[in-house]
Amino acid sequence: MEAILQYVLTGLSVGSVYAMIALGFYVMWSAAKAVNFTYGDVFMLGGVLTVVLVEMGLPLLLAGGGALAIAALAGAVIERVFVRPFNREANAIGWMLTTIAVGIMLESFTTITYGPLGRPLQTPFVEQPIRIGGSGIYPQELILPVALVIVTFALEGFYRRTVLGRAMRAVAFNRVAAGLVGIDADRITLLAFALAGAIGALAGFLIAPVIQASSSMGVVVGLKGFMVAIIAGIANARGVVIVGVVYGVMEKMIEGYLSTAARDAIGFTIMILALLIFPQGLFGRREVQKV
Amino acid sequence: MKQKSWAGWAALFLLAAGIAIFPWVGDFIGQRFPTSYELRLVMRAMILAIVVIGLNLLVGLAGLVSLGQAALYGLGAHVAALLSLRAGFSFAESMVFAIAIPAVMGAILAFPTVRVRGVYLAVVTIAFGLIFVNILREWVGFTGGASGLANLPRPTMFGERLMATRAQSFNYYYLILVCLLIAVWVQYAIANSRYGRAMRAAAQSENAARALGVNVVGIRTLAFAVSAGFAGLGGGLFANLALFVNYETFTFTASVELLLMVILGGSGTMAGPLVGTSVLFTATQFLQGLGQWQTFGYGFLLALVLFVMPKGIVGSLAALRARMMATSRARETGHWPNGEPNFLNNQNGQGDGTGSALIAKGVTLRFGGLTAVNAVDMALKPGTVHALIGPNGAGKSSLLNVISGFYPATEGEVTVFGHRIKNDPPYRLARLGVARSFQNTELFGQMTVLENVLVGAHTHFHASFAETVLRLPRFGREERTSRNDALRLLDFVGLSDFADEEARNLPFGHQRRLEIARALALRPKLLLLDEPAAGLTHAEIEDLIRLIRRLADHGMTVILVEHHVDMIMAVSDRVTVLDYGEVIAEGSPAEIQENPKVIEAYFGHGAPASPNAAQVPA
Repeated sequence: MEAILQYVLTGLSVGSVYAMIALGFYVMWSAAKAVNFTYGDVFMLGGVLTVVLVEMGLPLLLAGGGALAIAALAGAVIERVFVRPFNREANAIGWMLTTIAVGIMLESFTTITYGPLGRPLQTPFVEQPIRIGGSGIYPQELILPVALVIVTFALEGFYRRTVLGRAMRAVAFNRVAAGLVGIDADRITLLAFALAGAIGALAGFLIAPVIQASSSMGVVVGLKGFMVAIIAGIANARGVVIVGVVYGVMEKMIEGYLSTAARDAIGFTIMILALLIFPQGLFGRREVQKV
Repeated sequence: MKQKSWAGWAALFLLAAGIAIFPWVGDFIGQRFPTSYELRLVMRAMILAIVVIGLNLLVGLAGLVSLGQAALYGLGAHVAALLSLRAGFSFAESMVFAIAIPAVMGAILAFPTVRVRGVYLAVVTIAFGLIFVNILREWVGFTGGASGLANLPRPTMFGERLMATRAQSFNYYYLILVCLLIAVWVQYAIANSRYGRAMRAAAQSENAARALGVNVVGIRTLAFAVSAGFAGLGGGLFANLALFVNYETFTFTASVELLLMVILGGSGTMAGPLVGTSVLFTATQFLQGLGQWQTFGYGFLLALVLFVMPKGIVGSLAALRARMMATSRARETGHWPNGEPNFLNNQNGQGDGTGSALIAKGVTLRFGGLTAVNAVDMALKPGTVHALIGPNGAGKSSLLNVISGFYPATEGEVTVFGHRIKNDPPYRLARLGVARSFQNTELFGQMTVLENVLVGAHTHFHASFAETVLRLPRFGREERTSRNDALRLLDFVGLSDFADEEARNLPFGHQRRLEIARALALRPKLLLLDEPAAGLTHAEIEDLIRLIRRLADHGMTVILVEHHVDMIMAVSDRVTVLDYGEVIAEGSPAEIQENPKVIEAYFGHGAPASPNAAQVPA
């Protein structure tokens, strides 16, 4: 019983990371029908930059804030330089390749300058684990689900209640029509990528104390986030969050009851099978093909 | 056209001859060259080129991205290694499986994803790559884990040991060369056939491809299976060359490298994979000197290529050449309709006994709470022109989409030439002889005018995939017939002079003509035209009227959605008026013109019921 509780709690924490990444994909996809394919590296920047800024002497929260701001800027730059020029026609695939190129450069540059190894990030919440039966969990890990809930509701509020958020929804719904009523769709898309950058970096900042910030922390997490978004049906924010959390818990269950080594193999296989059965995603609606 | 392909084959011949002579260069220059090291490099480059050719089919023709191609390559290598190491399979036997298993795997991966969006395939293939590496690394007992599978038995064939040594006359080297040439051939054979055209069509306009009878899911799955088969072939050759495999060769980075080779060479071009592989493979030998900056260099190179020459080396050169060769010769537009469309009439029988080309009974289409089409009944006599009119949003196009299979009807049934359709996808309806045009023309922009029409003839090819690749007689026969028919159709719509122009470069009126020619290439029994006159000049509309009449006179049934009242009056035999999804009137054009309900629908209550009122274009 305690084991299950432990798996659920750590699963919730990991799953919250996946969910936040998936939310970021959702935000980018809604605006541009394209994403930063290596968004995991923006997540990585959130962790790594915080560590770097803390080492430079900034207080933790300020360092985190700085990392978020830089990641948001990186998101915007990636949109402007690498996505927009390569997403001009429907079904374009150029943006996929250019953002992969950026991701490779970001990650290898970080490896070279920051070093290949992870570095710890000290927060008050990783000093003493809470004991649950035989094993422990850091309070930091429990912050993640809380942060996820806040981010989810904040995002929903933003989309529904602010002028900018409504403009983003308008662009997502119909780019041309949004342009006709005076919304600068390009600028909105840029801001959506910046927003996604900040969300990704926030996840990186929050998980870094638990897993240590390293240049390679983003790749697989980013991919899992994208898979989660797709399985959920990428156009549904709540679905994306639910699937992210469920996937996190499932992963811990696999680790606990089946095999740690085969975790990703099993997890990804389940995801591919899910896509086979629900090609539109679990929460996705069948898109009406405009003819 | 002819000259260009001649030059291409000559270049290929020179390249093959160069590679073939390479092992013997030492005899001419009197040095120990090439050593086994250089030979090995050339062999590895050839193997990569085979894999890259496969990927080029996927990316360049089908417009799909695989980021797990290295895993399929690795799958082939491991299948070959495991079968010869653990099961004692011969070289030839293990190679068959090394090709077949990745091909099947590719089909399985592609099937769920190509139905939805291309991005999904990219993600699923990455996931597959990670699963693959994860299993290889962790399942130590089976795959050797990090130390891999070593000491594979040296391959033999016909009792000969396959090795790239002088003692064995470099037989393995030549075997790889032969495989490479076969790959080049298969790539050429697929690209220049209905399969390649259908792949490109599906990538450029999925809806139009479906309407013309292309099974989009099927053709994409085929593209991925073939592509994976090539990866497997490369993998099997690699395993038997290195006699050692482990997962490190087949990671995500390797997949990106393969993709980079395709893009760098020029995706979709025939020579691109060879050029891209040679250039990048050579560059890699230098990039290795960069140490830890090597990976960064890859990323940088990928970005650079995409920014500076998105068409790749071969693509950019071809574009340059085209610009220099471009003559300012004015192309002549022929008049249309030109001649009689009697070459189309082999299917246009009226005598299938039912007496109706199309029967709609209680057809209803709902989107959520919105009823777009409500209990529509229609019956069309063969060989007539039937106009569908109504105010904007009356449900005309929706009804057309139901008839052509794009939307399944929520209720009711549609029978086409005695065949009841229920959830039949558009491509199956196309095979029944239903063709359509689109409100916003949907041409295959980056294919030539002639190729567009040839895609229209897709359903009339019966040569199988094997016949196509082997260029057996039936393929050639069908290709010639279709080409002739296509040229006659272009002549019929007055576009002969534009045959080798890319469709996107045509002026708008010509695009409409082409779309009709393409639909006619299906040799339809029922032709659905969705606002074909929109955007045409007055003279062009006159021509269009004559064309439609002429088709009907040859027994074709035409449904016409149109706002242009003069045209409807001139061309239609019957008119159905829709308003809010319901039929409010049906009759001859003259009757409709007098019908007070119609006048009300168009002009609202209390409009003057004079006959002239309805003649104002709605």
